[in-house]
Order: sequence, then C-alpha cells, then structure tokens
Amino acid sequence: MDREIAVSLRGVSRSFGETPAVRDLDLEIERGSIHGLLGPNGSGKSTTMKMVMGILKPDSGRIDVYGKEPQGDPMGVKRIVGYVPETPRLYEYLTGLEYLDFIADVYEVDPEIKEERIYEFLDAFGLDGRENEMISGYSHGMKQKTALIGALLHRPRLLILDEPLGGLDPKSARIVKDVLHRLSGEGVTAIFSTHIMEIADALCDRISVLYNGEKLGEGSPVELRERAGRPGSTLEEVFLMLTGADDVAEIVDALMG
Amino acid sequence: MNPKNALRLAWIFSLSASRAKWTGGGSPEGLAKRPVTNLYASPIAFALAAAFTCLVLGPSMEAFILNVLAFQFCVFMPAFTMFMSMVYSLMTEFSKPGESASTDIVNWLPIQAGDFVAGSALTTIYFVSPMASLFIGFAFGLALLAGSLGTWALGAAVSVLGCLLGALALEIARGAMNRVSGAFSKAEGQSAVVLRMVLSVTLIVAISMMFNFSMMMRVVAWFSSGLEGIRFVPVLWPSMIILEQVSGNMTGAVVYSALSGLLLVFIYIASVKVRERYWAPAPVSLKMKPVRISLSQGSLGFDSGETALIRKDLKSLLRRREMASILAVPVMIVLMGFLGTPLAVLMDPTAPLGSKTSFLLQCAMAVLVLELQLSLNAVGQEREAFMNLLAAPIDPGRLLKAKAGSALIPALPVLVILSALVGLVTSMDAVSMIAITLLGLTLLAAVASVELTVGTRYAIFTSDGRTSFVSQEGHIVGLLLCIVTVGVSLSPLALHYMLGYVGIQIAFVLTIALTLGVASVGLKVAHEELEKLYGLNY
Repeated sequence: MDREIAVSLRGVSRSFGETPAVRDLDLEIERGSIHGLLGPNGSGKSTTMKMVMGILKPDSGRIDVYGKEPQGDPMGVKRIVGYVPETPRLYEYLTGLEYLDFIADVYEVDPEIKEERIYEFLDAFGLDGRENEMISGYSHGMKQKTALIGALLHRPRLLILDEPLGGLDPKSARIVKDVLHRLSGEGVTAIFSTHIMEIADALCDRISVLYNGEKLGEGSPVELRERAGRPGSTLEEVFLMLTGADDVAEIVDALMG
Repeated sequence: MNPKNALRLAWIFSLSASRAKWTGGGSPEGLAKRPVTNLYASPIAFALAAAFTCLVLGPSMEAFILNVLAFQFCVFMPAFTMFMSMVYSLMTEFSKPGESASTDIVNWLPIQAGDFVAGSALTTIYFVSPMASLFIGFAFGLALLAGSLGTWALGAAVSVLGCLLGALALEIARGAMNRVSGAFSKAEGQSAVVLRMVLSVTLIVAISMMFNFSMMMRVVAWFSSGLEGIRFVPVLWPSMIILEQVSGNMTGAVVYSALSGLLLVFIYIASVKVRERYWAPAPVSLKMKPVRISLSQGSLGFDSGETALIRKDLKSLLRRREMASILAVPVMIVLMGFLGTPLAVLMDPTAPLGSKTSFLLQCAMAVLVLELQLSLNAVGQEREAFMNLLAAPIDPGRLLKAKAGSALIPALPVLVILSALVGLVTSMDAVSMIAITLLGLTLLAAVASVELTVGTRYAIFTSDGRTSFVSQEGHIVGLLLCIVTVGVSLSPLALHYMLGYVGIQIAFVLTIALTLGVASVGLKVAHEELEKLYGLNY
C-alpha cells in the first residue's frame, strides 16, 4: 500500500538577517505518524514548525500540508492544524473555560458539541474544577495543558507541538503521550519538537535530528542507533555523536577544574 | 537611595522601550542602540513650538494679551508640566503589563525600592520630555516677545521639579493599583471584576486630580473667596516661587523653594513607602461563577469567530489592570468639564451657550480620547498572544472587523449618554440631538479606522520591560492623526460657521459624507497594515 504523505518540505531555507535558521531542509511525514524534531537550542526546530504552520515564510523551498501550501492557502492550512508554541501565551484575563470557548469559536467548532468536547478534555487533563479560574492564576503546567486542549478542540488533522511536555507533571505528560498515540491511530499526524531523548524515543515513529538548521539524520529511533553504529546505545549518545557534542565529559572536566 | 543605581535603572527601562520594536535580530543598531530618541525629539519640539509662537502666533496678538499670557504660562509652567507628565504617562506609558519582570529585580539584586522608584520616575520624565519641551518652547516664544526671559528661565527650571513630582505621583498610583489588584486576587464573581476596575479607575482619577492645579484652585475657592487660599495648595508651591520672585518678594520665593523641596521629599518618601508595601501586583486568580458556554452564532453582522474576538476584547477592557488608565483619562476629562463650569450654569436653560462651551468641548473630547485609546491599543493589546491569532484561521479582514467592533462598541454608550447630557444642558430639540449623535457616530468610526492603522503599524507585542501596547512614536502619530481626522471631517461644518457659504443642512450632509469617506479610507489602509503584519510574521 502506498504511504500517504501528510507534510512535505523540499529544499526549505529560512534566515533571520544574516543568521541562517533552517538550511535546505527536506522532510516527508507520513499521515498518522508521530514525527519528532530533535535538536539542541537554536537548531531550527521552532522555525521549521512555524513555517509548516504558515506563521513564517520560507526564503526558498516548498512546503505542502495535506495538499495545501501554507503560503498560498494559509487559512486552509490553519483550519486543519492544531499548534502549541514553545511558550504558549494565553489570554491571562480569561478563565480557562472562556479561553477554550474563544478558541472553539475561532475554529468554528459546532456550538452543539463544543461544550461536551471542552469538558471531555478538561476532565482528561485534570483541569476540571479549575476551569472557572482566571488563567493568570494557573501554574505553568496548567497553562501548557490549556494550550494543548485549545490545539485539540477542533480535531485537527495535523498537530504541531513545540516542546509540548515542558512543565508538565509526569501524569499529564503521560496523558499527552497517550492522547498523541490515540490520535495517531485515528490518522492524525503529529510533529513535535523536543530535546529530551527519552520522550522522543518513547513517542516518535520517526525522528529528524536537526543541528544548526540542517538535518543530520532521519529514521526511527532504532534505525538511528543502527546507522550511528551504536545499536546498544541510548538515543542521547547517538544524538551527541551526530551533533558533534560528544565531548561533554571534557567540557565538564574543564569547567570543574 | 543610590543615585547610580537609579540612573542605571532609568537607562535600562528607557532602553527596553527603545528596543521594544526591534525585530532585526543580532546586535541592535541605530536608535535601538541607546535610549536617545527623546534627547533628539525634545530640542526639536522646543524649537518648533518656540518658532511657531514667535513667528505665527505672537505677532497676531495684542501686546497686553501677549504679556498676560507670557506671565501666566511662565508662572504656571511647573504646575502644568506636573499634571501633563501624569496624563501623558497615563495615556502612553502607564499601561505596561503588571507582570512585567522588571519589578522583580529588587528581589534578587542589591537594589533598594528607593532606587527603583527614582529610576522609574526618571524614565517617566524621559518619556514626557518631548511634550514638556513643546510646552516650555511655547512659553519661551511668548516670553521672548514679552521681554520676560528671566521669568521664563526660572519657570523652565522649576518645571523640571514639576515633572519629577508628577512622575513620583504616578509611582504612588502604581502602588495603589497593585493594592487594589491584591485586594481582589482571590475574589469571586463578575461583580468583583467590575468593582476592581471601577476602583482602579477611581484611584487613578483621584490621584491625578490631586495634582491638577486648576482642580485644586477650584477646591480652594470653595473654602475661601479670594485667591489667597492657593498659597496652601502644595501642587502650586513651585509656581509660587516664580510668582514671589516676579513680585520682588525674595523671602517668599525662598520659603516656597523650601516648601517645594519638602514636597518633593515627602512625595518621594510616600511613593517609596507605597511601592514598597504594594510592590508587584499579586497574580490575580479571580474565580468566576460557572457559566454555560455560549452558543456563538455571531450577531450584529459579525460571524462566530469575530464575535468571540470582540467578547474577548470587552472582557480584557474590564479585567486587565493595564486598561484602567485607558478608561481613566476620559473620566478625568469629563470630570474637569463638570468642575470647570458651575452646575447652576449648566442647568440653567437661559444661560448663553458660550458659558457652556468648555463643558461641551470636554464631553466631545472625552469620547474622542476614549475612541483614540481603544482603537490605538486594539491590536497591540494582544501582546505575545497575537501568535494565537496568526495560528488561527482568522484572516486580516476578519481581524480588522472584530477589532473595529471591539474599539467602537464600548464608546457607543458613552457617546449616547454624553449626547443626552449635552442635549439636556443645551435644551436641544430631538432632531438636533439625533444629528449630533449621528455625527458623533461617524466621527468615532473615522477616528477608529485611522487609529487602528496607527495601532497596527506601531504595535508592540512584547510584554518585556517597560513597554506600552503601542510605541511612543505611535502614540504621537496617533494623537496628531486624530486631530487631523477630526479637523478634516468637520471642515464643512467649520466652514459653514466661519464663512456661512452653505446652509447648515448641506454642511451637515457634507460633513457626514466626508467623515464616512475618511473612515472608509482609514479601514482600507488599516487592512493593508494588518496584511503586512501577517506577511511579516515575526
């Protein structure tokens, strides 16, 4: 059976001033898969996600999201995508419930099913009972969960999650993982970035390792280990090797004198 | 207080505003390098105002009027700059976010509250310096023509003290606002939200009025028949230095200099104490009564997404402490209108219209200033959450429609109430009342469309540091364009009254048509600005 490609990037580049953020990136992401973008800070993960989302324009190259171009049909793409940025900025003067109601209206979720869906997610993420409090009083984790619910409310076909598990307690992180797996089973594609290897290892079907805006490697976690010639290694060791940062011990020694 | 720390903080706060719109990445360049914009703008403002007065205004005045005006401006310059620094800051710079991290630094750096308050006050002076220079330049032109440069020099020097007093009074207002926020941090229900906003606005208005010399003179007049009472009004002590010096009473000048110094110390100590006690706003965790989720189908010609945006913005207006200053300034203007004209005159239907002009103008100004503020800040108030809108399926056209709606809706009831009040005061007939309201409505639409354009172009989306929703440049451009918009829109009516070239009906229809034309052009340009914002995409 032919694999269906949900998202493809061909020769995509983007610079900020003189600084290149993403260089000539090629990527194909299968429908229903969970694709991790793995890389250190400043490797181009967030920029790549924003370009797929249509929030940033690539300087060159072509992006395709379920047959739509983010630059040509931005509204079409935004309607089918759920996005959680690295640091979600919510409207702090709204209550959690008001925020989700607002998001649902903006995405034109059917008013008849909106309430049920919101409470379903609030319950799943352990926010029920706190939904009538203003977001300004929420902890970082609660804000993160609220943003995640906001991204899921309109049943997107593609989820773009930038470091989605940062700030979440283990239980909530587990819920997110389970939700992602279930959505993946229903054909929802997910792209998510992280620099936490265990999460990438446990969650992703495929991983792209980014470094300085370039893709250094791509494959399933097992394939990456094999390709690096370290089948028994942890993904962290593979990552450090690929990014040329396997001299950590020396750096620590130098720092500690 | 450590003066070095205060200056360092003032530098950092001003720098944060200078760089708020810096999006180039890498090392800052040009004006973003140092907070020097106002150091250039202030002498230019001074020179322009002085030149205008000397070359245009002054020569057309009679010598007697010129001398009186020069005297009044020089004497009241410190009192005026004090109040102006408060109002201008309230409109442009006070609305920095409560959660701004800059107030946090005293907790982990060796900085005292006094250093912070002094630094913050100096930053306020930096922000208001172009406006103050404009006024001082105007007074300079008058003094030059009247031959009273000595009095002007003293007035200008004492005006610096006036600005500092106004800036310190703002610190008291900031602390008091934190107190109000704290009091409601764990409150419950919609009424608590409204009460919090009402109290915040009342506090700002009350503190500002205490530093309004004209208002204080009126209060004194209630208790004493002559002007002798003004000697006991602290905000007028700096002006008394000049008055005593001009009348040759050096002892009096020295006494008022000492009293002004004491006033400065007192206000400084008070502002440090208030700020120390109510340092940063407590994170508000207001709990609302459980509400049913709205079945948004859209209304008033707005679709469900636009309605959701408008509803969100209206909640923002009632719930965000930064919005208190936006609401306070129009309240202050109406209040000054009421206090400026005795109630007996206002309520007397036989009193000539001329005696009520000041009140009528101030009512009109209050609505326009409210509209100016609402639409100018409409886009920038999204702050970093603008990213949510970029990621959502809302195109620039729908966003503009929603933003225009949320900027106009709160001003409409105010327009209707003030129109009714004007109708009552002037015993206007029903047709004139409707005409006035219609004119007001179209004028608001024109101002809204123009200010949305400016607000979009100069929006600041970062909440870091001491930044408003719109850059300082944007505030000045917005203010000037508002004046131009009103002037152009009302020109047919103005020409009718000045030249009588056409009948009032035709002039009225022309005015409405012109105003709608301005609104339509404004909306078109605002749409283009929003499209650019979507295209820039951070």
